[in-house]
Amino acid sequence: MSRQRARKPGPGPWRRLRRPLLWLALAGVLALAGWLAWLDARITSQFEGRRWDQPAQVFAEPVELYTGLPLRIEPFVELLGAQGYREADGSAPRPGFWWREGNSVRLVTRPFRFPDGEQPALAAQVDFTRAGVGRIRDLEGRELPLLRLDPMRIGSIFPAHGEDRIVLAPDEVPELLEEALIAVEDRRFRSHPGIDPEGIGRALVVNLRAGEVRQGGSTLTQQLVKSYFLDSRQTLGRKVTEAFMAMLLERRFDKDDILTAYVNEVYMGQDGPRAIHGFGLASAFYFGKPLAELDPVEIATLVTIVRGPSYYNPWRHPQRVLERRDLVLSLLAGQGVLEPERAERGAQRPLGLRSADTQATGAGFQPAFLGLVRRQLQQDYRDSDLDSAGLVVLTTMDPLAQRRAQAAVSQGVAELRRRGAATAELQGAAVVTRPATGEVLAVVGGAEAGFDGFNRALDAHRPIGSLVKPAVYLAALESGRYHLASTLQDLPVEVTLENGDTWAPTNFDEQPRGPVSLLRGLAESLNLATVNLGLALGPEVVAAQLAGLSGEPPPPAYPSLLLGSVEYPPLVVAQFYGAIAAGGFRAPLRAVRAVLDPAGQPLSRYPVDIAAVADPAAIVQLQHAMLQVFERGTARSVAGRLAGQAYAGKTGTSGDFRDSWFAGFGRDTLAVAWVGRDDNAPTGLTGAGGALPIWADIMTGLGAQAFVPARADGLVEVEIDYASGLLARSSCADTVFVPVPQGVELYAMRDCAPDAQDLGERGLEWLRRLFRDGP
Amino acid sequence: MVAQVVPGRAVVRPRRRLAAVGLLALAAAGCAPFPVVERPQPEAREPVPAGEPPPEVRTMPAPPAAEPLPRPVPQPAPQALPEVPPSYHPAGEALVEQARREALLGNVAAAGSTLERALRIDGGNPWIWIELGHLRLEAGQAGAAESMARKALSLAMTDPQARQAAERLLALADGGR
Repeated sequence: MSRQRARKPGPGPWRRLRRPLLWLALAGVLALAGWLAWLDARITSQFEGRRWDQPAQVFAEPVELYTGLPLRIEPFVELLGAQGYREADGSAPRPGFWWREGNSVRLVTRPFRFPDGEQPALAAQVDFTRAGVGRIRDLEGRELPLLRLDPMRIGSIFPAHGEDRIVLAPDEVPELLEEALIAVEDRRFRSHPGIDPEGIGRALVVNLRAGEVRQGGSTLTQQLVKSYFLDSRQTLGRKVTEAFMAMLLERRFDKDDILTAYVNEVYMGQDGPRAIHGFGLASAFYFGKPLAELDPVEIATLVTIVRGPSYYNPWRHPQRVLERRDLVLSLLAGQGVLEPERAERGAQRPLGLRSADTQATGAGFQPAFLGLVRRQLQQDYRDSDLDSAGLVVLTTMDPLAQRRAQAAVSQGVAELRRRGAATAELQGAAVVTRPATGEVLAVVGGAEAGFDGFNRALDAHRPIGSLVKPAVYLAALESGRYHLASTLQDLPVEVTLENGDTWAPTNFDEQPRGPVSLLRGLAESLNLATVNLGLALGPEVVAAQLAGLSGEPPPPAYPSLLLGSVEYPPLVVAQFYGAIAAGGFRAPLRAVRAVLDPAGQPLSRYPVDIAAVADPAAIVQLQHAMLQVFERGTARSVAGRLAGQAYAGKTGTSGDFRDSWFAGFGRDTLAVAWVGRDDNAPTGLTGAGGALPIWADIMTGLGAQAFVPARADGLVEVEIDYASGLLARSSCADTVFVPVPQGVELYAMRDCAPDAQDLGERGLEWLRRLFRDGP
Repeated sequence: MVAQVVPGRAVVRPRRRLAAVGLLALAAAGCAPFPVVERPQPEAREPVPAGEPPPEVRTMPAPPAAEPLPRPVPQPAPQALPEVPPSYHPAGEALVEQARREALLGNVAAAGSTLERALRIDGGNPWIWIELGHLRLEAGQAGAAESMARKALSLAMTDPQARQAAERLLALADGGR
């Protein structure tokens, strides 16, 4: 009735406009429906797609403890710390905890799925002596031959857009974290439909009163939606879109799914080019351990950081983070999520972050090593498998070696940079391997740890200079025409090149030495002796030798090859010297041991492989000459820095002092160090002046054992005068004992010849020593 | 998605295969590798074992500083060595045992990775390479097995038993090629 009456007075305009308005409204409704459908499709596909977007997780070599391992208690405890193991606080033993009793460490390992099967959490006691690991027992006192820890997580292979995360399953999200997020960020999360008008109102009041933005009114769902589209623009339109999407998401998925997605998705910080997403990775990034092992105080810290990862960067603004964390703790206590006493006690504690030291060189992100891992995997896997299929990659990285090698390069380069203009922009790189099996233990791509850029260990192709010489001398020794006591002519030589130019190399100090022993030629890196030798053999023979040792194609056989014009990156030098260290067997370098699928089933393995590439007897002689590099040759300057250990190696310096190299090895460990400038300008550094001290720091830092040359059939040991190679006595010459092939004819030094009696005794003494030094 | 990675065949030059025959001949003759005695004349040469490349003799030019006196070099004589049983690392041995059990149960991949763990502990133990070589041989990779036998031989200078085992593996690998 009343409606009809109301219509009457309104005559013309409304009636005329009714039709178009209705059409307009219908079109609006249709457009809105279409837009909502589009939003719905977009948010749904995003949500479902993202749930499975898991970068491959990369793990280091697990630490293996056994009686006699030369690892002392302090570095072991350091290692446990780097791996996120925590000192027990008196609660029941749990995985990831350790406690010390005198010279023993008790610990509970974390369970881990290895390619050879699932290893459960193991509780054990490790007794240390001054030399290293004494014995290992389980907690019932039974002796264990060895104990393998769970491997350290060293990073992941994240997509090119830089988002890195460790994805957690719903049951892996600690209840306390869920409750804390709800208590602090979104109190009505369990009941609201995706947006929370009451929350917005409250935030508005708070912000108006404060005169600044103190509180956000966004629900967790809205924050998740916002994070999905990586757009922080705060326009009204965007807010409206976000609100609709949040409501759509809530209609389709349940609260637990949304909360888990939030925990995995949300932005938690920045590490150079790498964006830290989700609480799983944030836990590793800020505390160096898995989320499941965090205590309430640490969870409160993460809940603080999520509010604004750069504003609440705990390394940059510790006080700000501490204050807000304590506020979070009291909020949790106030809402009954945490007992008030625990909250109060927690508020006394420091943040307890991973130390800045491990941030730089320890458990964190290892881009240089990961670069090698990625390169090896790319031969067999697509990028999309690596950055989103949730694979587990087990590598050969030794966390301690990586840490020590990086520290040695960073410190060594920093010292050299202080020397002057030529070295102010110096860079460095290093590779550490186990030559017998080809396992790469450490890769240092530059002087700045954690820098994910130009990886000099893999990509800086530089002339190797005198590092090439062992290949020249090995070719000579393998020919059977030379031995360590042979005489070489260290005399000027001129070579007419194909283009008509004359090549006239000189020694480092431009002094020819005349006739010298082959041993001295290598130990003192004499250019003229080496070129004369190499020309007599033929550069193509040397090129072939180099190809065999390095596994690379033979370089062009120009005479300049004899002084190292060939360009290799440090990794290839490690392969080349590895074949010498391993007695003439080349083991292709590997950084990846196995790849497992998300369920722990092996997808591929990369087992050890070796190839015989040199004559064992020639290699043994070469190894002796390379020991002399430290005794009497170009590396004697570091003899005092090597903790009394004898190593074998060689210096290398390229033309005009552009590259400074050292490559050398102990019994099980090989290291290559390089320093030079990225613009390839001269540095004024020789191999001994630049790379050698860094190399020495790496070897002593690792506690690398002394090198004991291999033995081979058909060699006998003789005492010769070092300089000339003539048989001599130590009473009247500077003599060394070297192996030579049986049956070669040698000459004795006049007035200093060893007498027959002596020779016989020497032979017997050698025999006795052989057995005393036996393995 | 991805095939198992198969290590490539090792390339071994025929010269060394001859040397291996020589080694076998030496072992068969009971020749010990080390004993050293002095021989009176420089011209006196040991008979060259079959297949061994003859050692080349080179007359050295006299260095100017010192007039050289030709000097014989100690030569080995066929004399039995005292047998010193070598000792290997117990943790490495335990892993070799474990690998043998795994191989027996048919879990070749696990045995392989266990042996690599053993190598990390005691890389100088020739038995680990021998076991690895047998695994490769069973997988049809005779070339890899041969390289591993040679590696074991180079490490077994003081372990006659390991030497024999390595030579058996070498013979099997040669037969499997």
